[in-house]
Amino acid sequence: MANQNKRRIETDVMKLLMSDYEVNLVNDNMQEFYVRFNGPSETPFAGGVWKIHVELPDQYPFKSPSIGFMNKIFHPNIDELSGSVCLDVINQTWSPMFDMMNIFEVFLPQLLRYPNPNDPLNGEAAALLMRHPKEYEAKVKEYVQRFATKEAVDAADGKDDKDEDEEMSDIGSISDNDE
Amino acid sequence: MQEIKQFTESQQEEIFTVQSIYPEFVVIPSKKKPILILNIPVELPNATKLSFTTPDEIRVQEDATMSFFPPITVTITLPSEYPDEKPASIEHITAKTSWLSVLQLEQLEAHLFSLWQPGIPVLYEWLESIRSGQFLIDMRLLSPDSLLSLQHPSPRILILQLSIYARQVEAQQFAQSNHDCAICLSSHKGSICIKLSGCNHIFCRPCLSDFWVSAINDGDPSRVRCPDIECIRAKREATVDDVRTVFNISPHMESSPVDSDKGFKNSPEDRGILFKKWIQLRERRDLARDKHATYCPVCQEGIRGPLEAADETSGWHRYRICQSCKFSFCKTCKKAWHGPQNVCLLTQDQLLRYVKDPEENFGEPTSWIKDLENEYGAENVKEQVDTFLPQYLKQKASAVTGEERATDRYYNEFMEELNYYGQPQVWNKHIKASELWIRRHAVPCPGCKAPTLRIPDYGCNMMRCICGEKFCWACGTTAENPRLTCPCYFDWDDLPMACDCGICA
Repeated sequence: MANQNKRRIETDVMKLLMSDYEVNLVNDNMQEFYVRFNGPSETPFAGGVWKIHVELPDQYPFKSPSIGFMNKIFHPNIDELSGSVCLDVINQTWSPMFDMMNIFEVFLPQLLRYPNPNDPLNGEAAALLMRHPKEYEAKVKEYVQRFATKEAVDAADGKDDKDEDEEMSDIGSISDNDE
Repeated sequence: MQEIKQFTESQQEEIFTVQSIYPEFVVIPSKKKPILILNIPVELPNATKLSFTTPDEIRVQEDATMSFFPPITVTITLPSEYPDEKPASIEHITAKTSWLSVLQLEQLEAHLFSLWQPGIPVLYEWLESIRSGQFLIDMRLLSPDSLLSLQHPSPRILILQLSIYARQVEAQQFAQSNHDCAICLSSHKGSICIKLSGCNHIFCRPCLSDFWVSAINDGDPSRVRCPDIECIRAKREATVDDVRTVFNISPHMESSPVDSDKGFKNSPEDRGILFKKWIQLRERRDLARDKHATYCPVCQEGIRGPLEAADETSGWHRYRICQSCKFSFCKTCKKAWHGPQNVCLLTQDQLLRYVKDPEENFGEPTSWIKDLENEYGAENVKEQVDTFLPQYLKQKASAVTGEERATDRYYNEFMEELNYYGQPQVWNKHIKASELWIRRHAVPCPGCKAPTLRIPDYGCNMMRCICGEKFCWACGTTAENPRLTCPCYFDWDDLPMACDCGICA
């Protein structure tokens, strides 16, 4: 059965690699990788590019993958500092029938399109969305401009290739998120 | 192919043909006599409703629909002149579970003879007519609107037998065909798959087993369910039989493999243990969710409320009996059952607390007092407090006061109670200390009153109790999301580190 799990991991990652997403494997073991994720159109997140860290546990698909935003995003259900995501389908109601394509094609776009301010991880974003939706939208766009441009993500990639500490000062704005 | 010299050449040829099409239907019992047994299960193309005529001419229509019927056995002798001059002669004709009556079987025999014409082999035609159920239509037993008329003295028993048979056939067909598992994305023989009851979704058992084992190890029985998105939305949990089948353990709980045991990560023994753990987790959760549940004061076993709550005015609604030690007691005061008419007596400790609590709460009754009045009845409480009050005031004047005396009283009373029940004296100073500590530090869940603790100093305030209640630990607000609605929300940010509890996230 261990092979069964591995085969499922390979199938799902292959599906992701064959798709339009840019995927960078870490250590070539298929259980840890980064994916470029584009903000869904017709939302304040449109045009933004985020680097998303994905780690598949050994028990995948029976346990959900852990998903984290590497560059900052202003969203009620995504923690600004750690980038961790609050989404029931990748936590409590995860099903082994879901795969990586579901997450990137459906779950994440839906989360950005329909934030849930009633269950916030970023209290400021939630409060702003409920009280001043216009300001919320402006702040989201500002964050996209500052942290989620293609250049910012490329710079973050460059950082990963080289020694991390050296490059820290250049791109201090991008959260270097290991916790 | 076995030697069948007892038949003529043209007969042999015919038997070979039939045998090669339906090998499992044809039996040749003897090497000397030209006898042939056809054992033919009936499979109708559509599910049909059943209507019955009992011997005393009562017509009963049943809701059950069937498409599989038990085999009809036809014993045939082939005379040497068959098929040219004589028809094959039918020695016996029987239907398993007698779903066709004797009269109907005689009609069937006559019908089969009518299909024979000189010179033409008829065996295959007979077989096919029975197998497809065509004979039922020809004999006008099956009406065009799919209603099958049968004769049987006790229709209910027959229906039971028929449905058992149909289930066997379906299980057999399921086991022999291939199914795709949406988890491991491979195709498996049905014998290692399961069609979940309730939703009919199909998965391979090793995959479901892994999924459920991970849920059980996480202590979350609600995730032991069908992984299909629709079923998750419907919160449909797996049945005991399904879990048993998936874990491949026999109904007698002892973990003996039923059939193929390939592909499982856990050993049969482990799966037996996990199955028991799942049962326990479920019981514990149901107990916690049950507003009428209580714990036995003697053996601490959990007791669910009665299925049909007794009338509150009768007083019997407080009666409970422990399933494990058979102690019968009052749910409210936790003392031995005092009959439905007598009121529950408050302990000295409760009386003391009732009087003292408002003193510390700016004269307002605390939630503890409200709960007490709810449970014991406000009038009853008031009466007992009124007789207690003079005694208390006298005591208050004396030197020794406070919590210590209260717990001593509690302790003495508990000792008496235990002696009274003839139980070993489990109460000692450690239990007393623990009781005190819990009262000082734990916050009762607003739903089930279970004491809850937070990780000291940096634990998250958002609590999710096993009974399903979500509440703020600091102020007791219950809400789907206390993080947003609770009045002390802004204090939460003072936590020294980011919350890592996974519940409030």
